[in-house]
Amino acid sequence: MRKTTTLALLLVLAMPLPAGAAVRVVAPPGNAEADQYYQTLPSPTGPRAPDATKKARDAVRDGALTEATEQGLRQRGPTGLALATAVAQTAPTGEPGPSPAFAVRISDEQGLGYLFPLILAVAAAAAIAFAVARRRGLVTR
Amino acid sequence: MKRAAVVLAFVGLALGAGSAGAAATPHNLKLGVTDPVLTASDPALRDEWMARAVSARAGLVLLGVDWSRVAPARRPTGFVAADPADPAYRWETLDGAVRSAVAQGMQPLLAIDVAPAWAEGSNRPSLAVAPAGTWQPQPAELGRFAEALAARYSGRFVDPVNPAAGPLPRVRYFQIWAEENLSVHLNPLWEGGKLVAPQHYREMLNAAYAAIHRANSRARVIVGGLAPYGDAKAGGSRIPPVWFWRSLLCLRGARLRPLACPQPAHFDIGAHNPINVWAPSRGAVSPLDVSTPDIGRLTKIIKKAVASRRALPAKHKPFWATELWWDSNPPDPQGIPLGRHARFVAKSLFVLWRQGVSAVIWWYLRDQSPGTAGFPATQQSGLFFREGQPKPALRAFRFPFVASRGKHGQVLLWGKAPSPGRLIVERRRRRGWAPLAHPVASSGRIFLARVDAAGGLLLRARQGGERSLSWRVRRR
Repeated sequence: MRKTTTLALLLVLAMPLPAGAAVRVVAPPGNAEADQYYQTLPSPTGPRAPDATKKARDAVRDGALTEATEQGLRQRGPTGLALATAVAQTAPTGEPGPSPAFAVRISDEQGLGYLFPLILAVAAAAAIAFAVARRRGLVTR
Repeated sequence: MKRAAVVLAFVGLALGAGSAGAAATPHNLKLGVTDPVLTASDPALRDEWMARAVSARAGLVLLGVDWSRVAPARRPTGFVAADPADPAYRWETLDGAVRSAVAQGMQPLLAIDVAPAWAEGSNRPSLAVAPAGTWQPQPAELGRFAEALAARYSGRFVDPVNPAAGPLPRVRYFQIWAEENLSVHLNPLWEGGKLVAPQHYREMLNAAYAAIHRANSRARVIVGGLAPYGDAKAGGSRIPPVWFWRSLLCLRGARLRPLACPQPAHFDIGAHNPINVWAPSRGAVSPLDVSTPDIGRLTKIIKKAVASRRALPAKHKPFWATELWWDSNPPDPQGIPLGRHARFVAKSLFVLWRQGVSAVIWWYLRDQSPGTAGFPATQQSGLFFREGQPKPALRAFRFPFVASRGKHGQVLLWGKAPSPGRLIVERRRRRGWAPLAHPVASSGRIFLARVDAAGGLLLRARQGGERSLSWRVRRR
């Protein structure tokens, strides 16, 4: 059951990834040499830079994915890697926008913006509802 | 999956089956610091901060050796570059720092960087393209300077200018360049779409290795730690560390196929700068980059190179993390909060240790002044605030302690105690702290244990009168 739910969720998560994902860049918080130590990330969400928020900075401890889940996704190859990155990058923020020091360079390509996490949430809810319905015998093969 | 299995197997071996609190002898972890203030020209200021480094329990102190400042700006007639007593050299500041570090019980690590203009290659472009000291540093000249440096700090050299002071101390560790995968440190990285920096760096490393061992056979030569992230495209200003290491060690592609290598790289210790844009456990997104938990990507390459004699001497190479930091808030408004800063210190030491890293250099000891450049252009990663007050991170560095719940519900306890022997791991109860486990720290002061404990926990380690920071463990 859990496996079915996870697979369904992964499938839905994979769908919104556009072919030409934007590139974003993350540097260490408060970075003194942001031009050297930035990391380039693929992103489906265009110019938004949630990396500057507490949640995205600290995704291992506080983020949308637990360490184990992220590790699991990363081990699923490039698709898993892209999914892990996408989920971490689109976590709800709750803090004001990016700092210039933290989000160093952001591509000007447009992505799905706030629509992406909304799609994720709806998809996740649908997958869970489907799984629960199957367990209760409301849905048959 | 493979990496996780290896880590689990390693931890399992280290713990021993089913033992609570008992463990096989874990490998050591040297801790060190660096800071420009440790090579300050003012001896009083330098010694004040050397004492703070000792209070942080740093066993190593990385001292930057700016070749272009020690050597004359113009090569004078009759200059003997390999002679540590040549009067054109300016060793006073470095001599003072080495003497001070050794007198306070720390081991210096001398890190050479920045060539003088006369030791750079021909056809130099403008400084805007290649910063001073980065354009094809000539391996033969570097070798001569490294020989002078190693001879001066061989433990046998008496400075003829100041013979009354006795021989200068012996230095064991020498690092050759820094972040040579970045164009701010070495140029050119590419030529005509071909990666050339690793080959040039190999010549530099080999020249320095031979010279240092000639002057001091017991010295250890450390590869310059690479920056963690690169641009996976030809012509970029940052070479991904995995690409750089493969090319340096004459191995091709992900399968690491050995290539012809007439002059294999010589070094004693591998190194990397695993600076992380996120939390310590979170790895780099690109498999070509190497952040805090990704050290295995490099040690795998080195092992293969040793086995195929592309890294000499062909024996086990210890691996060090020679630059690690996060900026804190305060003082930097864009840094991470002090509590998290301290947890990142302890956690990163554990993450590196469990990957086999045997030394970590924290960068810096003291916050830099934001000055006119401002916080984004300066480093506020100190274990101390600029004025000398300790941050919580200092406690995490002096007595690192980490607790985390494993897959089967057991709690893994790891740390580096103030001294070898027994310590107490305590659990927070309603009415204070109660003992939970009594692990034993090895002669290298490392302890590792696992215990059965349910629910959410707040744990800390205690030895004598000293306590670690507390660590929260989530419920199962």
